[in-house]
Amino acid sequence: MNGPSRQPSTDVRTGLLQRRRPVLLIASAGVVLGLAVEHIGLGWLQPAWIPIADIGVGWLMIGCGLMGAAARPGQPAGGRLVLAGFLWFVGTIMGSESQLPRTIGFAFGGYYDLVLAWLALSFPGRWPVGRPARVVLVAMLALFVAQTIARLVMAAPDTFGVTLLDPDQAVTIVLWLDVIRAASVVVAGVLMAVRLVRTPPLGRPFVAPVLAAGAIATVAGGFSAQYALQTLGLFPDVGDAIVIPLAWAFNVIRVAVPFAILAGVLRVRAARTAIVGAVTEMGETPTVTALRSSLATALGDPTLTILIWDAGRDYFVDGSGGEVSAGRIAAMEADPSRAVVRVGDGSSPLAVVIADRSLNDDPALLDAGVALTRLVIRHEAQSDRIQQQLAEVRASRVRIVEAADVERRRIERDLHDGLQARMVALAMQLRASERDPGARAEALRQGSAEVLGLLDDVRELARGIHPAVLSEAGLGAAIRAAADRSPVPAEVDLQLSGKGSPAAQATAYYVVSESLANVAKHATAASAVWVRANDGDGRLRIEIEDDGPGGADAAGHGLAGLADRVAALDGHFAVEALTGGGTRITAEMPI
Amino acid sequence: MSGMLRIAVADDNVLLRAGIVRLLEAEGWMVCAEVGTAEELLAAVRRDLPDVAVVDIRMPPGHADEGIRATHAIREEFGERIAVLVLSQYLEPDFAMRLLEDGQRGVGYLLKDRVADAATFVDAVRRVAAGGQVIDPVIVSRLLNRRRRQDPLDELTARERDVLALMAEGRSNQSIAERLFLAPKTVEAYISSIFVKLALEPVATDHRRVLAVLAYLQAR
Repeated sequence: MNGPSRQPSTDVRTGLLQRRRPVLLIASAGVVLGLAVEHIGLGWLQPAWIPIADIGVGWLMIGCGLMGAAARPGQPAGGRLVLAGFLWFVGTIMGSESQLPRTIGFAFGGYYDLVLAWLALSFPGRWPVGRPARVVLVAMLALFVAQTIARLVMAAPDTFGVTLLDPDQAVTIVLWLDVIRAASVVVAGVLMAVRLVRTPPLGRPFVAPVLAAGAIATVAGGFSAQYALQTLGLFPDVGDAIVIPLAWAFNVIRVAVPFAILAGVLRVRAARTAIVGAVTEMGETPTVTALRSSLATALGDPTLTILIWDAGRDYFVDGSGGEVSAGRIAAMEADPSRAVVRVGDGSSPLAVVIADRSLNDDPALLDAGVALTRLVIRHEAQSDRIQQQLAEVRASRVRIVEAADVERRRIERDLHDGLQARMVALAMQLRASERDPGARAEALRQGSAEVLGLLDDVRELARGIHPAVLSEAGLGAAIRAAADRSPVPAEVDLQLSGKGSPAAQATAYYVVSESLANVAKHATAASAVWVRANDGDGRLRIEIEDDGPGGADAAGHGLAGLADRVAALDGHFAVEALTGGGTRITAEMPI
Repeated sequence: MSGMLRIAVADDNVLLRAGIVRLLEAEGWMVCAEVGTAEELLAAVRRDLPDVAVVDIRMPPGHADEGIRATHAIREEFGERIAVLVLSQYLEPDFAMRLLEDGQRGVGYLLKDRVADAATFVDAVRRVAAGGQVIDPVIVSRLLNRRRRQDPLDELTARERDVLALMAEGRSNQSIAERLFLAPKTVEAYISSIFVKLALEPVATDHRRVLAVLAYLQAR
């Protein structure tokens, strides 16, 4: 595939390449440690496959852990698996000839089980899920520590200078601790199994590998207590024929565990990729309705609902548009089996996402879902707004074109009926005088007077099309000229600096002249009209106020054309009736 | 008064300029310079020292206010020795008053279209050449037709309004008397009455009168 790789940096290979140095460091440490402990511990005894298998499990754990950590740096499971791998090697040196490594191996071996239990009980998060899990993990830690102490004392009483107990009792204590510890491990496994069962079916594939492997591995861990139980006489001796194959079965399981954990780590992000799938599924119609079903599928939670905030009515609504009270939402927040996430936009509420509590376990997944929700809601709102504006703009455009056509027809009519008619009459007059020499002088005199009159008419018409004053002397002069023509006394207050695009100035002029004409036509009882204009901070503001009877309707034809013209320049136009009588027309537009 | 006049004409519209020249020559006057830009006008005026300069406001290269600037320059250099008649496309009362403030004698401001009315145009040239003032009647009527609440002009009789209008056009008492078929004394009486009714300060000279009247009309 050409072009930039679309794989997120959470690909295993890319992750390993990006974090080359620490990965290589840890890997080499693991290799060296593995070889070292095998040498110290098992001394390469025959058959060779025993030390190889032993190293293998350790290296497997370190290797899988590194891959998981490199690919999913946010996931703690990878790092913990690496730790477990190193701790695995600690136990191996128990088989050493010399006493110190043997003692250390004896006392500290097995901690990998603790780390693995911690990993599985917390997966995919950082800390154990649920109170029972937390309690069990703490208990396990306590027991492991107790056992370490007991074993140290038992193995080397002289070193520790403790001769409190007689050797048999020490052994019994250690064995009992073994059993209790194993029991706690099994309990942890049971908790994992329970959680797996409780996960909603669509969410299971994401946590199943780790929880299942964890559960089974802990049973395997529990099985290690079999020897202790036998020695204590609590468990019948079922014979090597059963024990040894079982032991090997569990060893195989141990091998599978790192793979299962890696698979689980890699798959957790698959849920996040599912968010991408949700986006693709919504495709061209990212509506909230599509979001609900896509998100439910992506998170594997059919119970997922999204409540949308209705700003107009000030409450949340659900999928069918019904109101959801704040009380009900609070009740759901209090419900431990539900995860309730409030999605906001700055300080205003947007939505509430309600899902199975397992959503809380993957914070990054939660964030992605929230971000997607916010995006879709905003998009939908914006879409609606844009549609509305588009409709308005279309209607306005049509009106402007129609107005221009009406104007053109009026001009054509004026030219035809007015000027043309008079000029035809003039031509006939002059022609007639050709035949009558006596009347010639008079005809010429009348003719030139008529032409002068026509000049006036043309000037008036031209002013109607576009006032020369506007282009030559500017908006201020044009407004004053319009005010002078007003039959209703007009007072002008201008603070104009002469800035402004021709379009803005022309529009402002037409607002004034049409408004004044409007006052002359409809507000004949007005005693005065005030015209104000200023162009401070980049906006041109026009105000025409009269004290007439009021009642001007902005939808009335002349003024509607003005509204369109002003809106076309991205400005505001308003007509208000004033208390106490009169009308105020305001127009404001960018310069 | 109807002696030989030497006139410089500045207008970038060749046809119109030719028409103006023909009108002036038909009166028996001499057109000593016929130019199309402000620069050429100044050069011609300095060279020929005409009695009157007829100046179009909009000329190349900018077609903005070249004529106005040329007029200021002429007034600065030659004072009131050279009368100026300014032709404008539009009518700005402010500009008319600025012209009058610049120098009271021999100044005129006409709508360009006025050229078509030969009699009026020639009369205007004659008046500014004689040191009078000419303000296009259209400006005056525009100012007079402004509606004002409690308009002081309502106090005036119809005759007084006519006299006021002719005063604003820059006409002398004699000229007003002729046009209205009144005796000069009657005109003077009307004028005093107008000044009293409008509460205008009596004006020292005739020439300042136009400015005062226009200013009054503009400000009301």
